[in-house]
Amino acid sequence: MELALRLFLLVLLLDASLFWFQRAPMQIACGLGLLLPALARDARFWALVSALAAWPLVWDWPFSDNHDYLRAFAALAVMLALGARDPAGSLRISARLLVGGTFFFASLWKLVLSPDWLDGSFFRVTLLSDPRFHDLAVLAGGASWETLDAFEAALGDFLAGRAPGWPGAFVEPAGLRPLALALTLFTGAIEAAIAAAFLWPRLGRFRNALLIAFGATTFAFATVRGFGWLLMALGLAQCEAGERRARVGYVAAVFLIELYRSLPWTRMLIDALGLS
Amino acid sequence: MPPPPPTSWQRRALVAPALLAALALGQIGAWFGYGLSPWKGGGFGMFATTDHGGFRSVRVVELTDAGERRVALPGELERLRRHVREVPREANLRRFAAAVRARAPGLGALRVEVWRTEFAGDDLTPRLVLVARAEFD
Repeated sequence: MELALRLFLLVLLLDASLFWFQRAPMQIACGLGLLLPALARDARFWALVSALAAWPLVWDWPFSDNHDYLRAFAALAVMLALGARDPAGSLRISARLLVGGTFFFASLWKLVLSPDWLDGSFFRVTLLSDPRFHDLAVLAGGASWETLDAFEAALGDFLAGRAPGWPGAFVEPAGLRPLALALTLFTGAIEAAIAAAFLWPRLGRFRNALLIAFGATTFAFATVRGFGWLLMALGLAQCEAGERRARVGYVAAVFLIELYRSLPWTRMLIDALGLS
Repeated sequence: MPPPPPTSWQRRALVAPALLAALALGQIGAWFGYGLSPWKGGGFGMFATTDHGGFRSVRVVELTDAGERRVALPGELERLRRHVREVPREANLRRFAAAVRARAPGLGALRVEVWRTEFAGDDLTPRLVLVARAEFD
């Protein structure tokens, strides 16, 4: 449990809120928690951390991202666990259900509530319109930078109601559909599998491998490192006492997610392949 | 044999996950009820649909005897415009109309509209779909 608490504090310290007046108190508190282990084991300290994680959700409503909510729930779970008769056991249950719940609702949105996910158009549009996915579109989708510019210009004209509007000079690259289909299938399958493994005890033996695989693959492109770190910290917190290798895997995944962000590896690959 | 009832510390462990589930169900209800953005509100709908703020637009139309006229939105209302875009409840549309009118008192009746963008599955042609609309005298 000690390692999980430290990792939670590190994640909260490094991925605090956007505004300085929300970020600074959280970073001070987490820094103190990391320096003073007795503080990190105090439920009252985690009550403060929970409050610091929760109040931006109200202040920033409705602009907070999903992992901002998950951060507050994780802090609350730690606070309640530290006041329980079996803190490690309590945190294990909470962390497991928080991960399971997160992926259950993510899967519900993707597989049931969003028609544009099911027909693959979500990823086709996202690969073309979201700069975080442009490198992937060029590397594996056969898109050129001119295509991406043409899509942006045509979409911008359409949304602004300007002529010439759609389709402008945009022609969808042939390789984009198979890439979008692969991403749709992979993401839908792994997220649903994680939800099942974390919520259904009979599939429990798969949960660590699935969550670590999710962290090691998804965040290579989706640079939402705070969400990735938080999921890995929750994964570590729900490990049973004997799951040493899984714990090492979660910590390694945290470093890997940071490496994906700090090392422009997709751009280096694009340059090496002469696609720039 | 049925499993034993949870002890008090086990019940404690369910509090945070229960709150997560309650919020996520509430978010789905708000999306269904008044068009809350699937990406916002803590329901884990991010990266599931193109219906997000970047592809939503807010329009204000003045209704006059001579017809309808699109009203240019002042830059200082940007945060409120984004709020309305994500949470298009009637109360927010009303607040937005009042804010627009406060900056241009001569305006007549107003209609506030929130639109999202849908993309055709065959060639990604976008089209606007109305999410919410309300008129205010």
